[in-house]
Amino acid sequence: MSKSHSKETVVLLDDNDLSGFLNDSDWTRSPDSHDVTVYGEDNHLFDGGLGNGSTTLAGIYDTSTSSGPAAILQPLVGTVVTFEYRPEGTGANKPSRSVNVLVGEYKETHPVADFVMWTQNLQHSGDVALSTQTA
Amino acid sequence: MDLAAVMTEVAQRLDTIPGLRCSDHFVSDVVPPHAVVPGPEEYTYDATYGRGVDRMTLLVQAFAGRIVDKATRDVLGGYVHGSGAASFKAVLEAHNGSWTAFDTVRVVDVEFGVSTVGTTDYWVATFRLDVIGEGAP
Repeated sequence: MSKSHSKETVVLLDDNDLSGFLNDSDWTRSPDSHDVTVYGEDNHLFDGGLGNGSTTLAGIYDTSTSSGPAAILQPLVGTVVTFEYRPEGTGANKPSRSVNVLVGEYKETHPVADFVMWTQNLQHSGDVALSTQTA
Repeated sequence: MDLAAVMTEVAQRLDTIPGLRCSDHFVSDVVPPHAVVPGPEEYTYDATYGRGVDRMTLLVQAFAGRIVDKATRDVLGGYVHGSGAASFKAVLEAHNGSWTAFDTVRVVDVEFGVSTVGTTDYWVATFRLDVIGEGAP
């Protein structure tokens, strides 16, 4: 059992490697929850339903008009594309998670005392494929 | 980022200020007005994943002149001013978009003090630069 540093994380959206522009991201899975409580129970009972999930990407803006995050992400807003998340980085026997995502809200922020930053919300769509990378 | 290349390029840019001598490393003697780029205060790796971006706080020291000379105040004022041909902030930040050793720089602040070189007390302004550039050159 060992830890993994986040700096190794690799993020691919629509086959574009965004890793070098990212300083934060998350992988969130949350199922629908159905209350199936019946008479005679003292506490609620729940059962799982449809799966759901989302990912938020965050990073530093780049001025490139062809390979920077703004150039890549803004045309994808509102479309469904492939998304691959490698939480431990790229390498043999390391995990990989793949899912289609609806590219949602793209947001830039311009704090006066820092660099231009951006965030991108992704809505998981459909099944998640968990796999192990090969060499 | 290639630290030596960053320090050299910053010194070269400051060298465009009329009348200012510039050194891209520590020096044993200064001839004011003299700007010295002694190196970073700190260097932070991994500002993004995948060795995309590193960030550093780079120091630049301006030896304006003898602390007891009134002219030193005027010289230092030009370097500290937010604009003008002698402004360190204006000269360096106007070059954003044209640097080769890094992406961009912001002159964040400046501290003042006295530095004794030999037997002479000089008024020194130490500028702190927020430099961001490629992590893996």
